[in-house]
Amino acid sequence: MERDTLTKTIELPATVDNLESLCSFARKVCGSASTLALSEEQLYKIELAVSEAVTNVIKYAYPGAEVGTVVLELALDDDGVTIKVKDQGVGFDFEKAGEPPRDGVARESGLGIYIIRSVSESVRYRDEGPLHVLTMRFGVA
Amino acid sequence: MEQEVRKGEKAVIISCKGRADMSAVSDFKAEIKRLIGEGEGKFVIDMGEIIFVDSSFLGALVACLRSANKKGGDIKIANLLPHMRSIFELTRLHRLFEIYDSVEKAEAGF
Repeated sequence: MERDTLTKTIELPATVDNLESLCSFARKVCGSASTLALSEEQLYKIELAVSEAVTNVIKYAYPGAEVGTVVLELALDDDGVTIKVKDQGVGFDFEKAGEPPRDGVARESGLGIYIIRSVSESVRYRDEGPLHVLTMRFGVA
Repeated sequence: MEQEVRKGEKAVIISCKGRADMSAVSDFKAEIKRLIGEGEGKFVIDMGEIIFVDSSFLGALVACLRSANKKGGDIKIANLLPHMRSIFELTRLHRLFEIYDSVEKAEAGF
């Protein structure tokens, strides 16, 4: 059965200056959805996952001088929220990303996808034409 | 993120406030590097007023810990709010950093 969804989208240049705005947008949209009543912990997990996904785009998607954009699309339904983070950059090997941390091996980077996998219900990464799309699902607990 | 530095009896206390994400990394690392250059090595990071932390800032903490360790020093964490603590646990950094519920206890740990 089709879900009855409300979709909100924002597109901004993929720069560190816009990171907070994109995270705040996600928190505000999800937090104001009265039909979902997400807990503070769930909102934090959503904001964390968005921050990790957008940071990856900012750091790696556009290695050249020209900075592209990042699109954040939130689709809210009665059971949760589906969040898509889209870019037109160089993409990455999703299957090789997300290695969990190990005790005694401190990592300075490379934990973003692992965190997204850990805090979301599901996550997938696809090429859709010129777009790379990371899709994360958060259900109501 | 705002950061305020003061010298305690046993360590340098860095009180952080706001969002600890990618935008905070360069200033934080530069401050620790500056302090290590002045001969400091023992740090307490007071995160009581941090409202958000992600893996970019955790990575910066790990990098700074390595720098401090090279000088025979250490970094201890104080006042983690529950959501922040869960990220330390998720990334296993609670095994790397000593975490205290107050700045005083963290400083006493040196």
